[in-house]
Amino acid sequence: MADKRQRIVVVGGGTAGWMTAATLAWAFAGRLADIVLIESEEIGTVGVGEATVPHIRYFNQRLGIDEADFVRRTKATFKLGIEFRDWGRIGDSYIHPFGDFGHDIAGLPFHHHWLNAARAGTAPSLEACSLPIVAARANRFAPPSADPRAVGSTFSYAYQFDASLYAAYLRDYSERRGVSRVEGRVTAVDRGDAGVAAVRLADGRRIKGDLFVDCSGFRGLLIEGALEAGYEDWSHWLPCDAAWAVPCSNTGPLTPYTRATAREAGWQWRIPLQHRTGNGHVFSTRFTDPDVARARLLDTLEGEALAEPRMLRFRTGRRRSQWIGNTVAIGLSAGFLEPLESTSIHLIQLAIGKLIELFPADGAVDPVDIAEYNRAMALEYERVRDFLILHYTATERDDTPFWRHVRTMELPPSLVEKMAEFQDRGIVAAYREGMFLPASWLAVYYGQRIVPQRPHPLVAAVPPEQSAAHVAAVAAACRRAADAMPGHADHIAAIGAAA
Amino acid sequence: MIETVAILGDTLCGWIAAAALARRLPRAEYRVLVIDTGARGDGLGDFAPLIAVPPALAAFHADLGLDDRQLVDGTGGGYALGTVLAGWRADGATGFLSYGETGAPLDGIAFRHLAARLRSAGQTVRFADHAIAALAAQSGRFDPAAPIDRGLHLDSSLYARMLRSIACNNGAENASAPLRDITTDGPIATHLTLTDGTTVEPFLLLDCTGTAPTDAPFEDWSHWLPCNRTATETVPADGAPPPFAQVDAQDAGWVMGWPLDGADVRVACSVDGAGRSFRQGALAAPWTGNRIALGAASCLLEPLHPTALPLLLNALVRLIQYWPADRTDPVASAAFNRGTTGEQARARDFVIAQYAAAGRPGAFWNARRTTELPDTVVAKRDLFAARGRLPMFDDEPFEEEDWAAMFDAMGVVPRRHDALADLLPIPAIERHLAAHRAAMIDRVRSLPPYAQVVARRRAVA
Repeated sequence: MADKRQRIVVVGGGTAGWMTAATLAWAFAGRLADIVLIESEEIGTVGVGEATVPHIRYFNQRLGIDEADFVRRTKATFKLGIEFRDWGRIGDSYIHPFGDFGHDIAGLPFHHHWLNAARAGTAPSLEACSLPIVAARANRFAPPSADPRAVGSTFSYAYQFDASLYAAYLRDYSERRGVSRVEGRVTAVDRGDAGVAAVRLADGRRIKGDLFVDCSGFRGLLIEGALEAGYEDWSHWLPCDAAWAVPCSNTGPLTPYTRATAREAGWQWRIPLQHRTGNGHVFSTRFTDPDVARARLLDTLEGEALAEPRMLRFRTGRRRSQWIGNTVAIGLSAGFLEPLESTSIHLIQLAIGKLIELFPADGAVDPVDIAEYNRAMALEYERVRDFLILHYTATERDDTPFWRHVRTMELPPSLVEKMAEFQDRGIVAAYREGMFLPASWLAVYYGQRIVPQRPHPLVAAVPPEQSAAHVAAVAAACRRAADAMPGHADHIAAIGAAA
Repeated sequence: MIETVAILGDTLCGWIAAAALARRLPRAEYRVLVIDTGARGDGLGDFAPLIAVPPALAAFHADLGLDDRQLVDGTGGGYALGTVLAGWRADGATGFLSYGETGAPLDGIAFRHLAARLRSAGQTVRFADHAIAALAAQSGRFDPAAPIDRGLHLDSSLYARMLRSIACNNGAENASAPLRDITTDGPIATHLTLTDGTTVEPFLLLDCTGTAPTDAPFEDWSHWLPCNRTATETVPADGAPPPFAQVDAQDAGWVMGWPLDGADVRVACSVDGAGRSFRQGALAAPWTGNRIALGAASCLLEPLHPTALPLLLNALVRLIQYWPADRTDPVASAAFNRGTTGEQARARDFVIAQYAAAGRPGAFWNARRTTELPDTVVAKRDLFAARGRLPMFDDEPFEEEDWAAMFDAMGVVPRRHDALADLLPIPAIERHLAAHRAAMIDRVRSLPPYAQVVARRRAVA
């Protein structure tokens, strides 16, 4: 096998680059492939993806990463969901949790019974029926229970971490497993029969490879610059095209959730880490001036700004092909979806997983593999896109031109169909691929005031007090389980990380 | 007012629908009424006096308070741990598709990739040597109490009778007389008149007669699945029945054998052979107006795999989820039709793919390989042939492992292997497979011979 060893060149060393290098190192380094990562200290990483979804835990587990060590070194906090403020209406707040609302009753989803009880005015809030929300609101955290019958097993969790520390952590991991890091800036790409033959660095070096992974960020040096994949632009549905990012000092309790607050022409993130809070204002330059957006961000910081705000520009959409010839684009080079639902790192992780599954071990890339990769990734991006658009279209806000635009814009047919089914009678169709499960859709629908026009006919026949008893029992169990959890900061302290 | 859910067809399909709905519909609101239309047979294609029940139906039966032993003993049926496929492959070798899991993963790498790795090193690995159901089948041992996935072969009319009794206990009713005619207003069935003069105003009309309405748009699948004749016979058989089914490929179709105590039931499907004619395909919109076609009235697929019952049960689950508020409910029916027709098409794909992957020579079989296939089949066939993986779509009734096992049984050998499996040392994979197999063989040794189970049942009866 040693004679077949290929050279994989990862171009770019941000979160995407080091996640890719680390996984390839874990899987193949020294056996099937030699891995080279090229990055330049001159080029900053974007690192907006500081908040994650629960799948990141499987990524870390696969690499054999110890959670406590990881939490200490990336200054991570735990995350039970995302709080959305001012989205449906100014003054609204809801949490999209990593977990279910109650459990099915007689073959029907719980939320129909909650609605039935709510119609009679006897139900607690839907939030009260979700353990991760109840715990998040109380700033409490404990890992899920392994007992599937316990309410404590009805949720999952993710992390909020410093993306540059995570990249450094994975760099350390990768280098210990034989990845060679090349300091340098790519200035040219040499095409070859297979796609890319080599990249040239500013200092004149030429680095050849069998397989290239383009983690060069928005520019897509290889996938677009050299291979001209083309870009499917989605900014007519998701008009935000810029963000200011700035960290600030921590104030108040350490929340086990990310916050996304709707603004006049976009929204603002708040990601609490152990040592600071990440903030960013995502906005549309069609609807507001960057200086206004910057001032709005600085005016609303909870703590003291720890750096000058940095502005990023982006165009929402996806590369028409994410894998061409011997080149795979992973991360921002593959497409961009604003971090409203913390999907950036997850999409990187999915791409890496697919690449490993379809890895051209003998060095020859099969068109069948490329077709499957591009099909699967396109579907993932589209399904995330629809979920993000829902947040903008499901609103009563009409206070600014931005909100008047997004609430009335024409939607993708795939989303129109989904929304019609929910609005009519509370149907949330599950699908096989796509990261957001029905509970996520429910959280956003109800949280943004989309309520089914009609009750489920089979639940409407159930006396409201009977539904209310189910709902009350679930809410009481969530309350008890949340009360038994330690504070979030205490949990972090207990695993040995200084909060 | 109590609404009537009228089920047309005193068939197995009709009584399954009645049993499922009577469990779920509030009795104060709905009456479930089964009406005989004169349709005979199971309403599920009527390919045999028996119906094949895959393990996936266990949850439905449990919800009704039935276990496998009650079902088999109560209907004079049998158990099946899998299916022998004979005469399908180019090399003439026999394959075995077993129920339940095959092998165990090592370091997160699926068994089939481990097997491919050993094969690439020149070793012979048979899936059937690594599935507990297949090992039990090979040694003729089985105990219904053992936690081993199994299918059932049940006498359709006795099975229907058991379900009728459960449905009626839950409030379903048998109509006072057979159907005379249906009065419609556009897509809505407004009145049903029975032969005794009774009229029924159905809220929903579930067509479980087994025959698709001739005036509804029908997607014909016969260019992919040309078998159009079926015949069945029950032949005496000596000795203990084996706990598995067998499908022998023929020149233009196949013959399946289901062993029972003292007899074998045989079903043949062929192009222009002996027996009754049928046409494979599905309604474009099984739910139109207040009429919902279920079972073979909605979709007719040759019974090469036991797909009829899971498709019916999943359609009923969907119906409960999307239960209409009124006689017309375009949102609910569109959602139901999307999921139901999607799942039917993916079940169809599995059968088409098996024909296309079979290497058997002959004009019929050559045509199965050279006919233009649905894109969804091409995608699965090509990626499996390339590297043993499967693209999976929404509404798949079969899992990735089922697809892989079928292609393997047809003798398809992927051109390349999983890169992670390639890095495992061969001895580590060998040890893993051997240890797992030894543990399964120990479990199989503790089972009684299947013949004893059959004999004990005969003694009780």
